[in-house]
Amino acid sequence: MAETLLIIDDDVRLADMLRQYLSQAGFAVEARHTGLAGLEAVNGPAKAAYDAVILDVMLPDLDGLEVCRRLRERRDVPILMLTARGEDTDRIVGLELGADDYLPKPFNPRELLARLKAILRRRRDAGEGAPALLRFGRLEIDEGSRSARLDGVLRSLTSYQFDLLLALARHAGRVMSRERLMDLARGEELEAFDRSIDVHISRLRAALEDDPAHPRRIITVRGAGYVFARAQDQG
Amino acid sequence: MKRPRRGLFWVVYPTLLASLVLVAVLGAVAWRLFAGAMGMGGGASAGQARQMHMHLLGMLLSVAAVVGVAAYPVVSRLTRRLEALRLSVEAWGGGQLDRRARVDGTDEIAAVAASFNAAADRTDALLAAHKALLAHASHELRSPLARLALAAEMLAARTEPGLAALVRREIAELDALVEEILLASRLDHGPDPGENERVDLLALAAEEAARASVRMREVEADGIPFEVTGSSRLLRRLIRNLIENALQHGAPPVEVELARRTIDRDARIAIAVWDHGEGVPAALRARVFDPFFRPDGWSEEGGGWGLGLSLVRQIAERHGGRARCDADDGGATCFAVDVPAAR
Repeated sequence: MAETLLIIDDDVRLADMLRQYLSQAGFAVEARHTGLAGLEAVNGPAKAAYDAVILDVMLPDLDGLEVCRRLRERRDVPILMLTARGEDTDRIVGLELGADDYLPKPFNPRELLARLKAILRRRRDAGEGAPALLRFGRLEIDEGSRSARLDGVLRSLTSYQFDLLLALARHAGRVMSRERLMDLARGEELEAFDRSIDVHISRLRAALEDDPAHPRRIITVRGAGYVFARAQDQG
Repeated sequence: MKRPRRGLFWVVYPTLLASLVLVAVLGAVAWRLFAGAMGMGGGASAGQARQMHMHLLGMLLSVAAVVGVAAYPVVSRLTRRLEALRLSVEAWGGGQLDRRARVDGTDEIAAVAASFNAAADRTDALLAAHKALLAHASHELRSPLARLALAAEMLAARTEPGLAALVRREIAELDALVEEILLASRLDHGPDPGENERVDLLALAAEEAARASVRMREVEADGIPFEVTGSSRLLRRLIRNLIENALQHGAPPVEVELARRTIDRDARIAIAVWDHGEGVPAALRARVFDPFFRPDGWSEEGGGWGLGLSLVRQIAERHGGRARCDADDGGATCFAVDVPAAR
């Protein structure tokens, strides 16, 4: 059975196009254009069981953040918020209020689809209280299932490679020396000892980079170590 | 804060005292001359006249002293109020936009204070309107962009991939342009949220260099992170704009360099982007960071809206840094920024 989505966005044309786009991807989609209508649809007597809500932060009647908070009070439905780019506070607050993910407008539709699938999959797999999911552009790192996905597709990693990836990703935006990385990713596997860290990094790149020869996610800083890019897949 | 000035007080109050003393002395002299001319009834001796004169002088001087003491608080209060007004105006001019002057009574100083407050209120209202306009412009400009991006994606499946990529690139460029214009205006309006993070500049530079496929020069690794305090979002924009400027207006190879500097015993981190283009004539180097600056004879063709480098300077200055343009002997051009290292 197709999963049902609710779009709450006052931009009628955008909501319409999104409906077409997401229908093509196999979802059943409904749209509301005000915050109150959206709340009514989710909490109202009809109580249609939506699998996820796509919520715009800027709505004519109610603030999107307020809608998010009220949705959360009543129902545990996954929420993906659409925000304006560069409004960092809104992003943080959106997540504090319980949105599952957010995406700045204008968004890449493929990314929207990937994130939507990710939050739906997480609900299915883990139910409530799922451990944190680290997300960098099209890449997701799931600490719970110790797996990494690119565009929603599982990438095969060894346990040591995953530890190394986690060490890098948890310190995204910081230059990490080889010694520090080896300390953090010290596994019990023999694998850790029979190869240098650079070999493990190049295997990680082969698994996660679009073009391993020109890495964009795991970057070498000559003379210092490696850095895991904080802003990935932008523009 | 600066030590309060009392210049006006030292002009008004001593002048008042001096003129009182002068009046007393002149009055005494006049009395003496006048009394002398009248003959003073003949009976009085010269000694008596002198004594009377001294009495009078004493009396006038005590009047002067009383007036002087009474005038002190008046003059002092007047100059203190002017000083308070000056401090308010300066604080407001310095960016404390909610600062207002105290309005006491109905005299001229109170009137000036009231006028200042009215002007400040009006400016505040204009700024608020400007901010609201920006927020709306941001939303209004992005809504069609979001629709366009979605439409392009839906078309992409049905058209040739090259064309779809072209459309995507143009949309991305338009998006970046909107972002720059909004950012430039927003930087003039007070602080941004999250401006006090510790930011690893080396990581940021490496990331942006990789993104643009340009080389990064090897750093001198000493184990100390290249950290500054500020907004990672703005600093990323700064580095990105420096690289984009070099790619757009310079010639390859473009290289990014990060180094520690000590300037006036102040630990700073310098970030430089080198290119091997024609460079900027020495006379124009100070002006390349001006908004919309375009040297004569440079083609319109290359694109670049003229906000990139001015944003670099705006962001650098916000982080206590400076931006400059230089050239080395080998003909390489360098656009560089140095910002204070985090403590």
